Amino acid sequence: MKHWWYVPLALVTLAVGVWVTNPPALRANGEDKHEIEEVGHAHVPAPLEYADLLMPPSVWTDQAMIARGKEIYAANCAVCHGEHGDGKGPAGQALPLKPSDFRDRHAVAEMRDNYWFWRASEGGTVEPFKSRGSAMPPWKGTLSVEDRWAVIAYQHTFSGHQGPHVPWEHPEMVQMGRDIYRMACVPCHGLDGRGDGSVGPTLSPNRAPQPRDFTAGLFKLRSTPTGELPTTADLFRTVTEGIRSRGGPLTLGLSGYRIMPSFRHMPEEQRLELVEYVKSLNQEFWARQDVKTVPVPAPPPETPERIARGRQLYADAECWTCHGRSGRGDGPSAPTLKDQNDFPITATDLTEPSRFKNGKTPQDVYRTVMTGLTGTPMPSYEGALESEDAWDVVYYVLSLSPHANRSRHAGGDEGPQTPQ
Amino acid sequence: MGQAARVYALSIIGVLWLSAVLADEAPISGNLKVVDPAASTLTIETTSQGKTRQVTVEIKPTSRIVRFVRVGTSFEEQRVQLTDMKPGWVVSVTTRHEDGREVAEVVKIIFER
Repeated sequence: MKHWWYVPLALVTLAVGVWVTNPPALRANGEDKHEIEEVGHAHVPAPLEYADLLMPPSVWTDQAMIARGKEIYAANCAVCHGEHGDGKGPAGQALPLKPSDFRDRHAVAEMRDNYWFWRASEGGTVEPFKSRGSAMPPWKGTLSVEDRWAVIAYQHTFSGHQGPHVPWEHPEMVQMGRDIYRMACVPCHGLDGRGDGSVGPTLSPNRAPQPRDFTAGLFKLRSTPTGELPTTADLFRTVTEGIRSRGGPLTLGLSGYRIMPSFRHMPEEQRLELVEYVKSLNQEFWARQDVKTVPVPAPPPETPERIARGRQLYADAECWTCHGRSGRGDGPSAPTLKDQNDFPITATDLTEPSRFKNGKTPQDVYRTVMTGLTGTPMPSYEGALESEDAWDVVYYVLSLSPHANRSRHAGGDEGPQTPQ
Repeated sequence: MGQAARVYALSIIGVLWLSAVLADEAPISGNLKVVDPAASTLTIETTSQGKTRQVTVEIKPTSRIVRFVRVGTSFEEQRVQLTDMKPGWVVSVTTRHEDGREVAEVVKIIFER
């Protein structure tokens, strides 16, 4: 056969032609086809405004809630997520971002409850889902909080898991945060978060502050009323800013008089993952139904009259007994102060705002005055001081620093920049 | 025409045919921004790779617009007229290129609000 090689040549040409002319099909909006095979779940932390919206553990197994969720699911979700939760509903088939398959127990185990609630509330209107072409509607305007909990509880049943969907049932939820914790936090806070790491106690031998025991539920730096657990944003702020202090010889390596380093350099997503792990060490975070914070109103203008009133309030409230007449932390009670573990604790030197543990902006100091520092002798003045009075005290305290006006008006030096 | 030329011609035809068959359009999904029955078009706001843009899709007589109606434990397609569609609805559209335009094949209504 004279031209036998024509046939293989034609086949090769055909194959090359198909390969060249059939690149990933382009969408009208420029996305290539490979990207459209993704499913709707991504392991990303819920943003701070959703981070404290944890589902009460009892909801997951509450048959009435599950039945209520089933009805809502059938009416609103099944068309995309499928009657059996497999993500194969008729409307979901052609979506660029495939609806989540709730039968995938590994993927479901990774989904934290606040993430799940965030997804149900905002749908595909938020990143990273928006950029990936999610068509999921936001349900927050249509379904009440309880309705969303109910439908999530029903969706959870598809995974086959019988108990509550919480980190102590599914450690996968906080795996990333735990890995970060083990690399960054164990030396001070210990493997189990009990504040018993090998390095921490040496920073301030036999004195407060000692590394936090996350399992005990006593958190100093909060925006919540005294004795309550902090918000996720509070924990995030502490991780971001670190904790400033009078320091000591062993804290010289930590910049800015910090006794806990700042993790500002860590990507925000990782800090959020870390905080989610820290929360998982204390089940009480899931027991609270409503997270209330002590409001920090907009600061009024600083005036000499306000500072003078603050000076009087400082005297009347006997702040001087600990902090001293001149605010240097040398009041008559200062040598006797102890924390909740009976460790001696120093009264804060108010002339050094850059070393305030809870931040040095007027809002930070206001928050400290009104919430107190749980586990220390510093009480909460919420209820004892009106807001205007508290601002007077704040401005008086900040006036005690010789550099107060200059640093405040210049936007501060290296002190914490607290998001408000 | 020699045998070689015939083989090449057939190969090229085959390539073109296969390309047309395989190069299907991925669906577009997003919010309906404009419904224009006069021009028989839908304009959809869609986001991908971080970019939001509006895509206008032509509705031809062969195009199907459907919503899904629950019947027992399953869903059935129900045809919808272009004039019944409302801005704000979430849709998913499969399209084909035709003379440089996007022509709808199936418009699936995901969410009506």
